[in-house]
Formats: sequence, structure tokens, C-alpha cells
Amino acid sequence: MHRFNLLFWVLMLSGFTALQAQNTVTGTVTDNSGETLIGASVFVEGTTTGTVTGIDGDFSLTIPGNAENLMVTYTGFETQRIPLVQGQTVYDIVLSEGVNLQEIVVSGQGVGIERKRLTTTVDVITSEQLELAPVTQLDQILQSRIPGAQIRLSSGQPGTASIIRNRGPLSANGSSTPVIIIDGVRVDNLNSNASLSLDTGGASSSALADIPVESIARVEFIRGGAATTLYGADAANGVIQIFTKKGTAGQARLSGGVLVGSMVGEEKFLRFEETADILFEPGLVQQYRLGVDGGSDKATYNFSGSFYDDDGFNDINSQRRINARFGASAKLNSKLEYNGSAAFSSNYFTRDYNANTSFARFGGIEGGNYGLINEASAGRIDTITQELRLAGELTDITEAVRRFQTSQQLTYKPFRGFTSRLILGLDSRRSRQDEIATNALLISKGAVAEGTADQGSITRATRDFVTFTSDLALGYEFDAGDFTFTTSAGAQLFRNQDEQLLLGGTNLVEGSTSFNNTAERTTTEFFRAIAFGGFYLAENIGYKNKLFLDLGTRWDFNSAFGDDIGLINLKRIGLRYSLTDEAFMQTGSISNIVTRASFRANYGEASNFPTPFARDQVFNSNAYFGLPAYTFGNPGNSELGPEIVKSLEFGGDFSFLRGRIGVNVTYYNTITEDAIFTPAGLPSSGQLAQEANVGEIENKGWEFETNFSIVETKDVDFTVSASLTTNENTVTDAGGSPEFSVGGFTFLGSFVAEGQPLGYLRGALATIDENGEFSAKSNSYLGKPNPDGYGTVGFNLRYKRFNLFASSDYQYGAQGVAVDDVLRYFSGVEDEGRIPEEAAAQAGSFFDLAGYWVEDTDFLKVRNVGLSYNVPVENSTFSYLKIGFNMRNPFIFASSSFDPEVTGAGIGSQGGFAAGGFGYGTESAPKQYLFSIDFGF
Amino acid sequence: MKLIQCIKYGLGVAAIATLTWSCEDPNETFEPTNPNLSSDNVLGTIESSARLLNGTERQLALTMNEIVAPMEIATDNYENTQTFFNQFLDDLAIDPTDRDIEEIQYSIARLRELASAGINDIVPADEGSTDEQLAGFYMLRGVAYLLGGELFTTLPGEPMGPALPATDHLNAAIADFSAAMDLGSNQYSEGALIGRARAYYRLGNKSAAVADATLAIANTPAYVYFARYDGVQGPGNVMQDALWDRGSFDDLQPLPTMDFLDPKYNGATPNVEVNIPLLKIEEAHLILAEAALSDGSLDDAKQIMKNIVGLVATRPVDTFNDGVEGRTQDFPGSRPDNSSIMVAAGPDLPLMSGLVIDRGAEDVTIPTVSGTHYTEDEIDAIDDIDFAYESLYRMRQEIFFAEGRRVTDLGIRLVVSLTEKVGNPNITDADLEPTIPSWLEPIKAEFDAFTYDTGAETATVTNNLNRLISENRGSDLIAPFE
Repeated sequence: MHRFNLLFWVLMLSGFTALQAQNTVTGTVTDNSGETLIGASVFVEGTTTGTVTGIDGDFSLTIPGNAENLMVTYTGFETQRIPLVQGQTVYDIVLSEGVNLQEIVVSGQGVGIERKRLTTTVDVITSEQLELAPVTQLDQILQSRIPGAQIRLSSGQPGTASIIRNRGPLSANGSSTPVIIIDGVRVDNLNSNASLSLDTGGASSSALADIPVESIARVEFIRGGAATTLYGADAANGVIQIFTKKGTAGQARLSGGVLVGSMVGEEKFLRFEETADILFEPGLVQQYRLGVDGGSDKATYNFSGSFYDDDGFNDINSQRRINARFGASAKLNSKLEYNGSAAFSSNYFTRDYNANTSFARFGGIEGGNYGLINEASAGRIDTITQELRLAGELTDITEAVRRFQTSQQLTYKPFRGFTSRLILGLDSRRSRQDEIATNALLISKGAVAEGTADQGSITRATRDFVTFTSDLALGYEFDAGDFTFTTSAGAQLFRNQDEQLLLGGTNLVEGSTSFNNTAERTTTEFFRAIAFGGFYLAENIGYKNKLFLDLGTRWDFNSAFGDDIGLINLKRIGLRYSLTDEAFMQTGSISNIVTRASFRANYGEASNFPTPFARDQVFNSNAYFGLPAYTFGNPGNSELGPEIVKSLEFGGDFSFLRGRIGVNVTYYNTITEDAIFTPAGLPSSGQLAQEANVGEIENKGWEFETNFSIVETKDVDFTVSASLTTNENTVTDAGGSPEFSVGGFTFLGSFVAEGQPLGYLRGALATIDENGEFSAKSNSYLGKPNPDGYGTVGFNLRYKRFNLFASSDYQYGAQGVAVDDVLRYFSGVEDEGRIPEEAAAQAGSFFDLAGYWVEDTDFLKVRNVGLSYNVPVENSTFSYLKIGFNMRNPFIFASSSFDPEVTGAGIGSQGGFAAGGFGYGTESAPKQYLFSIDFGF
Repeated sequence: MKLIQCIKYGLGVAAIATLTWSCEDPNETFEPTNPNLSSDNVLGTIESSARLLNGTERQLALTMNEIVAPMEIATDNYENTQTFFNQFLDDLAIDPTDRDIEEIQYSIARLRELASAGINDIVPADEGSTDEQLAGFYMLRGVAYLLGGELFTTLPGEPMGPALPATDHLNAAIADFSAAMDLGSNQYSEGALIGRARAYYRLGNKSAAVADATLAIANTPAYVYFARYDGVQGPGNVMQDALWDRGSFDDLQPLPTMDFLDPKYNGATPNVEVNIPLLKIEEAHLILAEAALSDGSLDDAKQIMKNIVGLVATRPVDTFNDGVEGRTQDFPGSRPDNSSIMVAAGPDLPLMSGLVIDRGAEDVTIPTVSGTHYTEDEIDAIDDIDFAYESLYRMRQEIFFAEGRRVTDLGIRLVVSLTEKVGNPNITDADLEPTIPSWLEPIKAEFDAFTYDTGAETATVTNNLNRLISENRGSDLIAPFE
């Protein structure tokens, strides 16, 4: 009987399934504005049966008879569960954008919180926004896309550092680069040369250049201050959170892309067009991407890989990068979910000598080594060209970086409202820089006499950095009627280890690139390790879903703190009131005009930790004629603690005309208390400079973000967005310490002094009185590299299947130094009219003329202009096919004679404060013209 | 389900991998150990005196690096035409905010404090320490005081201490040199004797200076003590960098009368940095010559000067190709650059050949310890005391060329740095005032000036500073025996 029943049911079920398999549902997937969503996943819940929407957002899916729900997912949008209704075959599904207020953001709140409940702001870049322009490097991705942040690229050379800043420079002790977190795991964010690195001029290598940028689903940028209290440690500069794709359910989908184009050197700021003629060469850019994703509603996966290659904009630069990332998500059971990702990146590039070295070719021509080369005879230019081309061919500076990064997350939801999440992960970055200076190179540079055979050398700098993250977060949501509570708690432990070696070999035998073939070898080691972490508790209380109070506190420990410093406590409090959630605001006439009006106020504390081991008193032992040689090392400071950045902000978020106009306004005031200064040791002590918590730095200003949806029709969309951040930065207290230098040169440096902006430009200020008498006051304020204001401007225009977009950024109210022209002055070919005749005649030395080389560095740079077309793919094997053309850095408007972004000097130490503002002997970021094809099957 | 199984296993492997990879030594997970030396690793440990002494000598090399280039630029020896080395000092603008002057003060203090640590802490705790090592510390601290007394009007003699007059520093130097000598005969006590003679000389104590100088010549007739530069491990010689290594950057330019002595430090040999003479027996001879002049004994002085010429002839020279350096300023030929050019050391002095040398394909031969253009015949022709003083100081200029000594001979003294003033309440405004002799004030920006007639192939130095020394030798600032 049982057997009969079983057989009966099997037959019935299979028959039923077979019968029902004939059922097909169709429909479209659109967003709130009616825009079709291409590539959205539509699948039957609990199965691998699924499809993706086509170019018109349409889908057709054959469903099994027992299917109950359709699941519809799309990156950046809320996943929707659509109950299947018997007899209904057409489903038009509308997805809500992920960046709405119901969206869950992580933002230092433990396991995540509804965006609406947040009392601070979070900027989000979605994958769609990222895909507007080809993606190769993180800082380039962020540039002009994050309203509150400024990203300045310091050189056009491959792999170089950028200056990333929001709300002004907070610290004289460290870089302003935010913490970068990928899938909950901290990654190396060193944005300067390592302590031990090649001395090839001002070009600083950056770990940001090789962060794997494959498969980024979204980027959240959390501005430093109250929003980053719970991140503790070094989060005062803000946090960039990157979330990677884990795949969407459905059958395996292939996607890919080809990018081909050209990069050419930026000539706008060249003093001599011959510089471009001699050194620049258009380079081929190519990138190939391939990805596959799929899965069921229980488990999804995503794999993508890419190969990138360019041969630079000059005759010797080239770069090659291989990226691969795997991500997966799985529901292990009804309560336990797993998310994991792993990425590998291999990056290799060649570089020229730069800026602050007499070997620099670019700096040599631009610095007037060849006099007024534009007036030279064709024969002489020919000779110079041959000399420099030969020197280029003989230049051998390479850097190779291999990076592995992974995140492993378990999320456990044992009962309704409670979530716990454990993250383990690491980022391991190994870099190797090599410089081979052969005798032939030295002869070509004029550094040694013809016939020299014993001066060849090889230098290698290696850095092995590992950062480890473990993060446990607990969250509980409780609904008590009018009041709702979100409670978060968590603990974290991070550990960074940085091992560097600088190897030198001299008298390298010609023809070899091995240390084994050198006559003398030297080694220098650098080691730095730090363990830090903390635990936190936060409570977010909502009242009638319109008033939210946010409270949080965190205790931090850190192995860099002095022995007298225990746990550091950080606090925050925030309030948000949503006026438009009041009933009286929701009447038709009002809500049509004021769609959203929400006000927020926050106070919060964030921190930056001191340099690891800076607290310790040590002796150094140097090698001197083959024997140990003791000397005084770091003097030590048992009271060394973190800088505490106290931030107060007020603002509001508004949208009008049903979202056609959006405006965000914030006023911020941050005080860095116990700012770590490292003034020179008291000369009579003979001791080294020591970090101490003696200063105070203030930053204040306004942030405005606006976006306008000017046209919204079926065929045409036109949106414009703009942002402005103002900043006033002052060192309000130097703690009695004398002025100290944080970069630059003896004749004109970047300094820290009470009452002045951080890193202000100090040098002799020249005046000429009415009688033509010249005088120069040394050590005067000449300007500041940090701008009064900066922001972004962009638009997006869609016409049917065409999409045109542009993004740009700007700054005003900053100054910089035309250092190249100082070199030209040495050669007697300085810019005409720069130095008044009286000054030239009467000045004692060029030191007295320093002020004449300081210029305003206002600029507007168009970073990207892109045009794309979605090719109709009905009745083809493609699920989508997009072709595009993109111009990178196409237009620049600047008030200065040099590129205001590039800086060949100014970062004094590893991860040190970067003032920028020294336009010196390095090329600007190149222009690029890129064709792309993206497709999916 | 297979996928889930794979992920489960993957998760386990990845978690274990992350944990093991990132923490090599579990004991150091939360408290990473600083790999550098704590005080406990140094005090009372084996070889601690030897290692600190070696480190103090290394500091001497670093201190001379801070002193020599800017001090040479400040005088008529070198002109800083196109480099990022100090330009203010080229015009003798001595300012308390000058970072180079601060570095000089700092590096002298560091030398003194390292030596003091040796004398007071390390040697007493080191059972294996020797008298020679202790003598070394005393001698090196004596050098620190000596340099402070020669270069500064006033200067703190201890951390946070008041700025003491130069005489206090010179007396402290004498005490330390004497202490070194009391510890028996060794390389340091020999140097201490010359150092003490130099300190007595600067104090104007003629009899003591002459006694020490005479003894030193008798004991160590060829003595030189160098600030030593390690061409492999560093430090390198910064003055060598300024004179030679800077490749296509134009380097420091010597006064045409000193061309034949440049570059005293060259990088022609791989991994070799040329050492800077700090204490050498020439010092003793020059003291005796000046003492003879101050006694009115012209013939004795001339004989001593001839002895010096003989001594210099025994000193080492380097022969190397200097074609890369050339002798250009803005363009080739803008400065005297070949041996056919005749140079006069002052407007009323005769043109001489041999002061400018050829630097092309032919190798040059340059003294690395001492050089002088003087010959016995030229010395024989000196016929009055005034010109003898002028000649003796020109000889001093040549013999101490590129050693940072000229600035003291000219009577110039540096100031206490503003950084010290900010952090040290004992510093007064008076300590921030430089000393520049009144006769130099009007021409302080023109020390390096000369006229150059390319057609006639002649060059004449505009300001004969040795003449000014001779004329003003009654001043307390210069010519200490007068």
C-alpha cells in the first residue's frame, strides 16, 4: 500500500510537473521611474530556474508547477519576492532603488542599519555608476564621484600616490587617506612611498593603485567624524567601504568586456612643447574582462578576471595588471549565511626617473637643463632627443606588486530581529621595486665619465604587508509600537605587519641584473607591527519612524599607545528628524513639492593612532665600517596616545518635486585634540624628534550636494549633479612647539605653525616699494596647498539607447609652487615676467624670490566624458551588448602655470602628512581615449 | 548542495589560512615587539663602549656633514650658484630660523651628548672598556666643544642650558682634550693634543698653543685625524656630494684662486667616500707661524711656512677624471675653466698661472688632505709682516679648504636657533644675534665676486679677504694672537 502510494505520488508529481512545465510567465522589470532594468535576475524561489532581463527589461521564464514565488534581484536595488498568482502569466515588476531610505548600510553600525535611521550621511556609488567609465584604479574610480571627497593624483607615472581628503587635513602626523574596507576587511591603504623605497625622484608608489577593482557592487564613503566613531583606531579621515558582487541566482551567465584605446601625455602644462616631442609617445591601452555568475536562491557565485596592459604615454612607461576575484554567498541553513570573497592582483610597471633627481628627463627639459630648447636649432634638438632617448632605453626601474585579499563572513540569525556576524579576512600585499643603474646609463646621464666600468649598481626595495581583520558584530531590532530600537554591539581586532628591505649592490657587472654579480652589498631593514581594536555599543531609537536618536560609544586599545595610556573611549550622539514623515506634510499638494525634508545633528569622536613603536625609547645600532655603531634612537614618550577628532555637524537632506531636485547641506566643525606633532628635537638636547600629543587643529566648513533631474521621459533623461565642500583649516594650538617642516625645500617649505593652515607654504616674501627698492621678509606665509573649496560637477543624458555622461571636479583657494621654474631660473630661462626686474637685480639669492613662484591653483578638470549605446539584442545569444567611447582627463582649466595636482615633493615619510602643492618635475595624468564593448550571454 | 559543501570547506580552509598567515608568532599578536634596542640592551652589555664609540665617531662624520657645506658656502671659498644647498648663507644672511644653522647646533650637541653618555654611563657600566675608549669619548666631546666655540658666539653647553660664550666652550674642550691625554698615549690622545692647541690658539693663549703645537709636531709629525665616511654603509660625505656627486646639477663653484684644490672629495672610486681632515699636524705649524708673526719674527714665520710647503708635498693626492664636473656656471666658459687663465687673488696682486686647471679628457690631480700653491720662492719674496699675515691666512685658506674652517678665520660666528629659543627659557634675544665683523658687513654678499676677462684669459678676485684679515688683525674676532 505504501509502495503504491509512493509510486502514485511520484507519478502524479512528475506528471504534474511535466504538465506545469508548459507554463511560461513573461513581463518586464523596471525601476521606480519606469526605466527598464537590463540584466535583472528573475528566478523561481528555491530553484536554479531563472533568467535575466533583456535590453527592454523583459523576461520570459518557464516555471515549474510547484513554484510559489518569483525572486527578482538587481544590483543596487531591493530584492523583491513576487507571489505567483494562478492564471496570471504577465508580471510587470518594479524594483526600488537600493539607495533609498529603506536600504541597509553598514557604516560602522555593526551588522547594518536602515539608511533612514542614520543620523549622518553616507555617499554611495552603485555598480551602474561605476560602469559608466572603464574601471582600472580605485582612486580614479572615486575621483569626481564622491561629492564630499577630493582626490588629487600626484603624478601621471604608473602606480603613484594620490591625496584623498574630506573635510580638510586633520593631522600633521599622517596622511588623510581614509580607511579602506573591502567586504568588511581592512586593506592596505598606504598612499605614499614606503620607508624603504627607491629614490627615483618624487613619484611615490601607492597601495591604492593595485587594490583589485574587479566586481565592485557598490562603494560607500563615510565621511570622517561622527559617522566613523565606531570604526575607532584610524578612522578619523573617513572610511571607504567596498562591497563586491557575490553573484545573482540563475543559470550561469557569462559576461565580458573589451577595452581598447590610447593614452597620450598631457601637454597643457608643458613649458616647452619639445618636451612632448622628445618624450611623449601615444600608448596602447587594452583591457579584457571575463566573468561568470549564477547560482540558486540558496547559493550564488561570481567570478571575474581581467587583464590590463598599457605602454604608457611616454617612451618607457608601461603597465600590466591581472586581476581575479571570486565571490560567493550561501544560505547554509535557515539561520546561517555565508559570504566570502577572494581576490588576487598582479601588477607590474616601469617608471622613469622623476622630479627630485638630476636623472629626470622630463624634469630636466622642463627645468631648463637644455636652456630655451624651443629656440634651439633642429640639430641640437636632434642631439638632445637622441641623448634622452638613449637614456630612456637604458633606464630600468620596475615595480611588481602581488596582492591577495580575502573576506570570510558568517551571518547567524537565530531568531527574529537578532543578527550576528563574524568576519575574518586579510590583505597581503608584496611589492618589489628594482632599479638597475648600469655604467652605460650613468654615462648617458652625464654622471660619470665615458669609459667608466665600475659604477653600475642595483637597488631593490621590497615591502611585505599583511593586515588581518576579525570583526564580530551583533545587532538586535525591537519594535515597541511608536518606539523602535536598533541595538548594536561588537568587537574587532586588527593587526598590521609591515616588513621592508632595501638591498643595494654596487659595481654591478655589465649585462647582469643580479645581486650575485655585484662587488659590495648592503641591506637595510624596516619593521613595523601594530595590533589594535576595540569594542563598541550603540543604540538607535526611533520614534514614530520620523525622529531618531543615535547613541554610541567605543573603547579602543592599541599597541602604539604609550604605557600610560589604557583604553581610549570615543562617544557619539546624533539626532535626525524627518519632517516629511509628519502627516501634515503628506498631503498631496505639499508632498508634491517637498518630497523629503529631514534634519540631522551629530556630535562624535574619531581617532588617529600614533606611529607604531614611536612610544619606545631606543638606541639605534648602525653599521659603520663593518662594526656596530650605537646612537640615540627615538627618545620615547610613555604618554603617547591617539589624536582625538571631535566633530560637530548639522545638516539636512531635502528633495523637491517628487525627487526631481535633491539637496543635502551639512555644516561641520572638527577639532583635532591632542594632535600629534613631531617638531625637531631641541637642538641643545641632541635628541631626535619625538611624536607628542601637543597640538590642536580645527577644520570647519559647509558641504552642499545637489542633483537635478531636469528631464524625465520615456526616451530622454537628463540629470545634473554638483557638489561643493568648503574648508577652513587652522592649527589653533601648537602646544608651544616651534614651527616644523612637513615637506618641501629649504627655500620654500611646507610648515606647521600655530595660527596657520596645516602645511602652509613658508618662504621669503618679496616686496618692491614705490622707489623700486626690493626687500624680502624670510619665513613669511606664502600660501596654502589645501583649498578653500572643492567639489564635483557632472551630468547624465540618456536618449533612448544612447547615454552621454560627464564628470568633473574643481578646487579654488589653494596655492602651489612652480618648482620647475625655480630650476629654469637657475639656468637663466625662468618664465618671462615672473620675477620683476627690480627683484632680479636686487635679490641676494633665489631664496629671496621664493614668493614669486607661488601661484593660485584653482582648477576645473573634466575627468570623464563617456558615450555609450545599448545595442538591441533581441533574438540573439546576447543578453546585453553595450558599446562605448570614453575620454579620460579630456579638458583642464587651471589658473596655475603648472598642474595643480601633481606634486613631486611634500610627503616626508611613510604614510606621512601630504600637503601637496609642489609642481615639480613630474608628468600630469595622461589623457585617454577608450573604446569599450561590454556584453553578457 | 555540492556548491554549499564546497563553500563550507572553503570557509574552513580560508579561516585557518587567514589566522595562520597573519600571526607568525602568537605571542606577539597583541603586543608586537619593537625589534630595536632598548636602553637595557645597551647599558652594561658586552662591547657597549666600543659600539658607542664607533657610533660617536659616526656622529662626528654626520656633524661635519652639517657644518662643512654651509660654512664653505658662507665664505669666499665656494659660491652656491645653482643648488638647493643653503643660499642665504652665500650672502652671509645668518638667521636664527635657518634650518642649516639649527642642524649644525643640533649635530654638535648630539656629538657632545653621545660622548657624554659614553663617559658617564656606558664606560662605567662596561667591564671590558679600555682607557683608549674613554680617551676617545673625551677627545670627541672635546671636538664638540671646540666646534661650538669656533662657530658660535654663544651656545648651550648642555640640554636646555644657557647659551655659554665661546670661551666657555673652548675651555671645556681644553679640559676634555686634557682628560683624553691623561689616559695614556693612543690615537685619540694624539688628536687631543692638536685639538687642545687649536682651542688654545682660538682663545689667544699663545704660549700654551705654541707648547702643544711644538709637542705635537715632535710626537706625530704626519698626524691626521679624519671624520670618516663609509662608502658602503654610509654616511656619505655631503661635501663630496656638493662638489662631485650631483651629476648634471651644477655643483658648488670655488673661487678661481682655489680652483686647483677642487674637488677635494671625489667619488671616482666606487664605494669610497673621501674623508674630511678634522685635526691635522698642519694646524700646529700654522699656529707656530702665526705666533712667530705676532712676535715680529718674520724670518721664523717664513721658515715655518716653508716647512708647511714641505709637509704638504708629502700629503696624498687623488688623480681622476673630472670631466663630468667641468667648471661651468650657466654655460661652459662662464667661469675660468682652463690652465691658460691667469688669476689674481686681489685687485693689486699679480696674475698667477697654475691656480685654474684643465678638466677635460685629462685626469686632474687634487690634494685630499692639504694643498697650497705656495712655493719656497714665493714665501722668500714676502718682505713685510702685513703681507706675511695676508699670505699666512691665504695659506690657511688653502690648507683648510673645504673643511669648514674659513668662516672662523674670517671672524664670523653663528647664532642660536629660534627652535632652541622657543623650547629653552635660558636663551636670550642677544643669543640670536650673529657676529659679522664690521669690515665684512659691506661686502658680505660679494665674497665670491671676481672679474673675468675671457678675451685676455684673466680673472681677478674682487675682495681680498686675507688682506682684510691682515688689516684688522687687532680685532678680537680674528687673528687670536694679536
